[in-house]
Amino acid sequence: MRDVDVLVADDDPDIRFVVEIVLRRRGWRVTSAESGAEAVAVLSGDQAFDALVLDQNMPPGSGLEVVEWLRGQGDRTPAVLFTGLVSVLDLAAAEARGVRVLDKVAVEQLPALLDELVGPDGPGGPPSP
Amino acid sequence: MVTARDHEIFSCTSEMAATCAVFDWSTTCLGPVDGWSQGLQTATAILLRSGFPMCLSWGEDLVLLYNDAFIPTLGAKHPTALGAEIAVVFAEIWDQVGPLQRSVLSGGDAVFHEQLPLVLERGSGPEERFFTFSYSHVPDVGRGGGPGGVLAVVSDSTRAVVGARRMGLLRTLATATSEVTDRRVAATTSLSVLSDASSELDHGACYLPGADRRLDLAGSFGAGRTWPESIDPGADEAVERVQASGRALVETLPKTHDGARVRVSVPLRVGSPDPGVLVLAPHPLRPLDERHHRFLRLVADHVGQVLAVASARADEQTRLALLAAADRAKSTFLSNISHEFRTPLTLLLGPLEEALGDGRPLDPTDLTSMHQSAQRLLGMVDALLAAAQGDASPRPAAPEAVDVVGLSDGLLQPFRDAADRAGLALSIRLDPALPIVELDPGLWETIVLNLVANALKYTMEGRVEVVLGAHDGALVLQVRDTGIGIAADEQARVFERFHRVAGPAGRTIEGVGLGLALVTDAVHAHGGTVSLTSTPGEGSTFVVSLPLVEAAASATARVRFDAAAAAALAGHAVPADAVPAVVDHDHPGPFVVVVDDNAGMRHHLVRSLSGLGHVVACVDGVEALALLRRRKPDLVVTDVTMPRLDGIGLLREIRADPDLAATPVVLLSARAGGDAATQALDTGADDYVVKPFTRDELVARCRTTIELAALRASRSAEAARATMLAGISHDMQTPVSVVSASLQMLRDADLDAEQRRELLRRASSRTAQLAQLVAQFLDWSRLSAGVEIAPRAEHVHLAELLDAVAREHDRARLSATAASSTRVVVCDRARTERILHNLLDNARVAARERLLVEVVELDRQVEVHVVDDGPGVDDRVRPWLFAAFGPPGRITGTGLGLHVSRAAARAQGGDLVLADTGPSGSRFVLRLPSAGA
Repeated sequence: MRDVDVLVADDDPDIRFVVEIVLRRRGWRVTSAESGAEAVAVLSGDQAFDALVLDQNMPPGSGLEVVEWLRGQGDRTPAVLFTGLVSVLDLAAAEARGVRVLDKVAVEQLPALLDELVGPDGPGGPPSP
Repeated sequence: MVTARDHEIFSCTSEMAATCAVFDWSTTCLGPVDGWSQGLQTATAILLRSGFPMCLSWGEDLVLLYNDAFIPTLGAKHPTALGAEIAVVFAEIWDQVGPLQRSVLSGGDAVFHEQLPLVLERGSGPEERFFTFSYSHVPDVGRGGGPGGVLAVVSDSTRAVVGARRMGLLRTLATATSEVTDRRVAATTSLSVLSDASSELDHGACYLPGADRRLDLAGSFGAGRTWPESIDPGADEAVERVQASGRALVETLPKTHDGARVRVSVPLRVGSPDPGVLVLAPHPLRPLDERHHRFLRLVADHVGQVLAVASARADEQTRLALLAAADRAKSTFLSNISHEFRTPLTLLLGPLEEALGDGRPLDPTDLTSMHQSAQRLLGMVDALLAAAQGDASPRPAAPEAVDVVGLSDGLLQPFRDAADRAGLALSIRLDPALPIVELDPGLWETIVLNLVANALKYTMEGRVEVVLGAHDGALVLQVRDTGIGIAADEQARVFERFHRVAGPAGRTIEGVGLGLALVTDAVHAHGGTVSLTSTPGEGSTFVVSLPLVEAAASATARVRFDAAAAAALAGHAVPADAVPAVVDHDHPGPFVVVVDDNAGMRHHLVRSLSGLGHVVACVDGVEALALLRRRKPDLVVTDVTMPRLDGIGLLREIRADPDLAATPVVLLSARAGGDAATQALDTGADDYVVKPFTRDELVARCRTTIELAALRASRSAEAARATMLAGISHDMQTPVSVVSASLQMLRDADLDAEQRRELLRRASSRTAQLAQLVAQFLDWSRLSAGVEIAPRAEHVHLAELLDAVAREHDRARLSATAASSTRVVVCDRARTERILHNLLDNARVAARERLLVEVVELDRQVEVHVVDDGPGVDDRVRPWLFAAFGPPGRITGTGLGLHVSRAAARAQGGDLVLADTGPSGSRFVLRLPSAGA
């Protein structure tokens, strides 16, 4: 099994902590960011990721903004968007950008969702350089 | 030998031919005629026969011959110029024309000049003339060797040139002043045009008729002269002569090396009975001939016309301005009248229509108010009639024998009560020694009642003094007050009909502005005087002085007067019943506040609306606002025109206050018409009712307004609840997800000790957060259901409490005072912790680096200060900070925190305030009651 790299961005330290534990238990490598702006900074760097777990509300910047930026670069890395404000979010717009939406209280479903996106034995959808 | 006389050259009929024929040419360089060369002879013959001005200068010496037509050019030099050297004859211009002649003589090209200016001396001083001329060479044919001569053909263009300049000046005078509407400006513009024509006019001045038949200087031109500012024609013979005769006067001026030689004074007709005078000194080189005189008269005519037209235009504009002002005054008056009549009419029609509708008899209290209203209407009608009559034909005084002291005393009775109501001292000193006098009792009543009513109306505190006595054969009434006074520029105008002074009003602003005008008419009808001295902010004194005429001793003196009129005026100067509103908190039904400065109207409104709920009345906007802030009403019904704070002002204050902004407000007004209603509704009124209105109409519209407002409130409450619930669930999601995930992992996963510890710690902390959110929500539910928060009263050691709370916020620091405080506070520990967590959470989000908790110990309270160094609270958000849901558009957070925190703080006997905020941070202060003394 190859290494899977995940970027987790959320402004709440406890959420980051919990998600990191969940993902590291599966042997995946986790990089953290505290805001949308920081996530963009990390994604602009050298490291490539197999999946992204993004909070929506993490000023400066938001999860959707990060995805918009990424897709604008032609990057199709799968992303999971944690959100509590489902009513405010345009679900259709999210799906169109290849983003899966997950309710924040259902953190335990995250691993299964990521498996689906990344593939159990290796990368599913390869990120284009 | 052939003598010159017989010579063919001279045999033509011209004066010069004859003169040349008898001239002894041998005395000249030309020698006898026999010896003249062919060229000279022919040239001379041509010259003498030509009707065009010519002269011939012959030989090296340029000896001059000329024809008849040339004589004017010589002037006084004729006839001695004949046979003289031209250089001598025209010495004054020789340096200009000499070189030209010499050049032609020596064979050079012929010369032609048009309108060349040359200053000639023709015997009456130097004159500038303009010549168009040619010089051509006449060869010495037939002799040979001689240079020949110069033939000059000359045309004097002076008239054309100067004429054109003068026409130009007159034209410029007309066009430069065509739009002027001010006489002064017309004068200065004209003089500036004249000044520009310096080739024609050297200097001058304009005098216009002024006061006392003097002539005042309106302006001058031409430098270096001083003109008297004002001339008394009686003392100046020259000016008097000009004005009286209507003709120009010419004075010769003393000779100066560059000065004008003459000055002409011309009468200036400007449309006034006396003419002005225009003084003009022509350019020294323009001789003063008949043409010139005509020109100067034309200039004066033009200038006079310009001035007359400017004056007429100015008068026209003044007239238009007065008409416009009169028109505005009339409109204002009509509007005021309409307004003044509507309130008493409402108080009459209201009860009457109720009685007609119900079939019940009129209520006795209504009868009194109706009678007073009718009296008021009657009083106003009488005043208007008196004013109208006064305009047409002033009513003459009808004197009778009057006991002026007794009459005045009776008239002033109602004013004693009025003064008491107003809290003023009223001092009345009527000299008992005054005799029975001849006086028109009706007019006297007008004078006394209006002056004293005004004094009371415009005096807020202090005293009013009325003094009646005799002085130097006059009956003198003084009314002095310590009131608001009248500004200096208004003092002349207060006696005018319908004039109302703008600015701070008196106790009431009812009234049409006739009182003092009627006083003036009444005083003048007696042949007396009325005067006023006043200082704004200190008071006014009115003094009436009438001729004192004793009545015959046997006459029965009259003391009768109209008590009702006096009472009505006193009642309106100081409105009755300024009893403060009493609120009954236990009364069921909606709480309605009515506001009107008219006592009768207040009473009527309270009674009409009593079926709606608990109705309380206020006298004006200020009192109403204070009441509204103590207890929120379900409806406000307010008049528009009130002193201190009017209906529109009150409405604005209500809408600007977040606590009161949603209060339904109904405006009552005497101003009918779409504009007034639109303005009211635009300012945020819920409804607008025009006087007079019936009780049924008012009640129906108030009821509707209350119901609509309740519907709006419940809708917005539901919307707010929905938003709040969305916010609550959002706030709860993160803690729930942390706790749930942590628990699951603790149960399922194999984790090391460190990880287990961390998970437990974080889960506990978030659980506590959830508990707080729930408790906050519960408190809010209580508040919105109107249930009071019932805090526990526990004794809590402040420093320990602060320490426990601060631990949970990693960036929070306690100050030394906070950490070391020994104070014990009385509070609900759980709630106070929640308040502090709320403040610290907010501060943590805002703070850049610093988050400090300080303590300030006061006598009976302790203040906990939470200070951050964040960007501060936005001005737009600040008024909504402690409100339940915050400004619209807020989507994060419940918006409840501070609202509930403050309510909890107050419920336990303290408070929560934002003490300070700005770009360098914010400071929230929580006050807690201290235990013990």
